[in-house]
Amino acid sequence: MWLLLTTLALAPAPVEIPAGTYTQGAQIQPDAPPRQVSLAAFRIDATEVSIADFEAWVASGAYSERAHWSSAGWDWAKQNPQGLGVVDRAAGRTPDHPVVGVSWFEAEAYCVAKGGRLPTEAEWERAACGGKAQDYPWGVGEKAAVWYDGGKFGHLSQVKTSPVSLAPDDQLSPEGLAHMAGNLWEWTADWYGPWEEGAVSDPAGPESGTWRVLRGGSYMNLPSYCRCQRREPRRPEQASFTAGFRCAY
Amino acid sequence: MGLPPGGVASEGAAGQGAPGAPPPIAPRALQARATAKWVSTGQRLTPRAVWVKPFRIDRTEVTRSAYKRFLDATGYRPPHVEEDWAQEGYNWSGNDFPDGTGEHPVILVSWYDATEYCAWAGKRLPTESEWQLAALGEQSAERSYPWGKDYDAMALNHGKMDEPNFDDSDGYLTTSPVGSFPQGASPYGLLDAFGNAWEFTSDARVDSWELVESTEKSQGETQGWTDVHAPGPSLYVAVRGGSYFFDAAAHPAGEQNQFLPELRRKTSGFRCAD
Repeated sequence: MWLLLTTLALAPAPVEIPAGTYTQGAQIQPDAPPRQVSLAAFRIDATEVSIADFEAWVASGAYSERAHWSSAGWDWAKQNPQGLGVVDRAAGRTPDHPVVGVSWFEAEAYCVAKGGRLPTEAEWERAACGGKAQDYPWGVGEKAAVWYDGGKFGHLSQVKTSPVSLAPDDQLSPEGLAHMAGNLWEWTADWYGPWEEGAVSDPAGPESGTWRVLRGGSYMNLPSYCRCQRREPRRPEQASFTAGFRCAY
Repeated sequence: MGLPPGGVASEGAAGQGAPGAPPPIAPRALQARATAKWVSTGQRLTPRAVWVKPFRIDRTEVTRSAYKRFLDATGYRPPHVEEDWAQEGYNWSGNDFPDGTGEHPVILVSWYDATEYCAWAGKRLPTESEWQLAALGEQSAERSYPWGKDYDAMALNHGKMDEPNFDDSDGYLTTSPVGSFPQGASPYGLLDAFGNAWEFTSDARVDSWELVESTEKSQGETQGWTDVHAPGPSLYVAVRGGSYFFDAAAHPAGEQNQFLPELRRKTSGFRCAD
């Protein structure tokens, strides 16, 4: 059965995640080992940011609106005044699909413009699996999520995302988030690095680094890359056809 | 491993001075080669002469020992995948490669991983035209293989085109220590250009010259398309050279392949240029 979250696409209603404690990480290489994380309540988008929403922001003059950008982001925006451009961000898809080809700086600025921010790594993982010890948002076991199913030498001929609001209801997270496994990698706020040992509250990651953390896997990845605990380092200026984002508040 | 006289300048780690680094490769004309038919997507560029400016390229594929230094220095993600085939002999344990394989090419790396290693080492991935020039020499050399015109099953660590693809008739079932096939050296001394591990280039795999950037497109005896590069992001990146899981005997140009940049394959390696 397919659930069309069309109202969410028109007016993205962030999902409320209550305060609580959960076990972050997994005893599976090369992910970081488990630790207890306590988080304050936060809200997070139920869907990835669509092409339509992102381009509406771009059309509003986003790349010359200083207030949206961090200082590092502003330096980047001055060098890349339209990012990769609307053609690469759409990549041949309709506007209801998630935007791709965005750097971490653009994702951060978009969320700030919307009154939010990127989720921390700990928030993202909590939202993805509902704070439960399971591999995927729906529990255990691989379903036909939006991930690589081309077989050993299968080939993709296009960017194979699903529209942001189109997801089977049995593949949603416990709180109803779509595409927390597969579809696109999602930028998080944190630098990539080893975790602090022991129990922590509202961790924000290393203070500096070279790579930001991507989460969730994409249509290009095997299911094992799409587990809630999987982390992937990516240079913040590195846009790709497999990474998008959603915002937290 | 057997090395040619004078030794092999294995790629140097950052800050180590790269003793014995290979000399720059002089500018040469390079004929872009036709694409093998068995590759199922894209890459349908008609051959075109391009020019390559002087550059340097690692004589060998990046070794696991070198990649470990990168991991230890930076905390970057080690080579590890969860698929069943990777559990024996492929996966690293933390920052430690499988025992005794330090001089083998690093595999289980994505295009992003390769790009990050080269950046850390103060280098970059070679463009595809740079790679091809280094591996096959200039157009006038008319080589189908790094070592010459004819296939030589003992000049590269190859596999088979039929399952199970593995082949040990060359002495190695999977990867071999870099530089184990000195008789397969290219005109510039590049080792394992064909075979051992597929090698990422910095180019996207595109199907139109309109998508290829070049600093100079005028034609003539001494100039033409120069600094040819197909920038990403793209769905596919260009990989070259084949691997221990592949054999270029029947279709030499079949070593021009494309990989999804995300995937960490058991055959995907690289070398850096600068």
